[in-house]
Amino acid sequence: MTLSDTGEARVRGYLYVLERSLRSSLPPAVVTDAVREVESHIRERVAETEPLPDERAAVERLLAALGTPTRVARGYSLELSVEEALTTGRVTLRHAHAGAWRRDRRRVVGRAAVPRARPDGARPHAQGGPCLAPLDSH
Amino acid sequence: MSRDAWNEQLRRGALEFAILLTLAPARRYGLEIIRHLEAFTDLVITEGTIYPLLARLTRDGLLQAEWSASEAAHPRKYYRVTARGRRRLAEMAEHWRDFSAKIDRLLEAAGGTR
Repeated sequence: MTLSDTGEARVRGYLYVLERSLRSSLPPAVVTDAVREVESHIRERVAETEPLPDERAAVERLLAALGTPTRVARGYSLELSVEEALTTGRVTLRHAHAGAWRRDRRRVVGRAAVPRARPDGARPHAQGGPCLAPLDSH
Repeated sequence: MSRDAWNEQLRRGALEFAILLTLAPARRYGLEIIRHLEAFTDLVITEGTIYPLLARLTRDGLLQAEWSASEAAHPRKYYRVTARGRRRLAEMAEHWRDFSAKIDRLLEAAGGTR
């Protein structure tokens, strides 16, 4: 399928939002490379799509399969955040949220969320409730 | 944890391993990786989630990436597994077999789930 000007504008708009979203968390060189790769993906998908009477629907379907630009950008940010946190040992709220779905997060958040001993000396979570273990125990 | 959340964690945990397996025999570009994964698994739900993972695996030194402009009308970014990536893949494969064998034994001991 060859895109009309309207379809081309839609793709350009997607890539523009992706680039803007990535800029907030990634170095410029990484942003350029990421946008180029996603554009390559879109061009490939467009090329393999049979010409359809409803180009708009075809383009929207293709972009929906890819995910919204903000969602794709968030994926990059999450991967980078988890990596930073594991490398530096520093944990921020953004980092903790970032790895919400990753195995690594248990370690990261575990360190951040270890409960302090209570003033009465009792061990936190002594009742058998959920407790995140310290990083070193994993 | 809901069933969906459990499935999602399992899927995401396996995706890194699946990508390395996909690239083990030959270099591939992003969409090729997605097609291969779709042919064998249902691990790819949103295509755009593959690229950040590929970027991290590259930063981790498990993959090597290279742009090629000569094989299509538009440039493609090809990935191949590095020597370090192959070592990691071997470890993951061993761990996976061991892990799944243990879970299978547990399932058997429980008399199945039906």
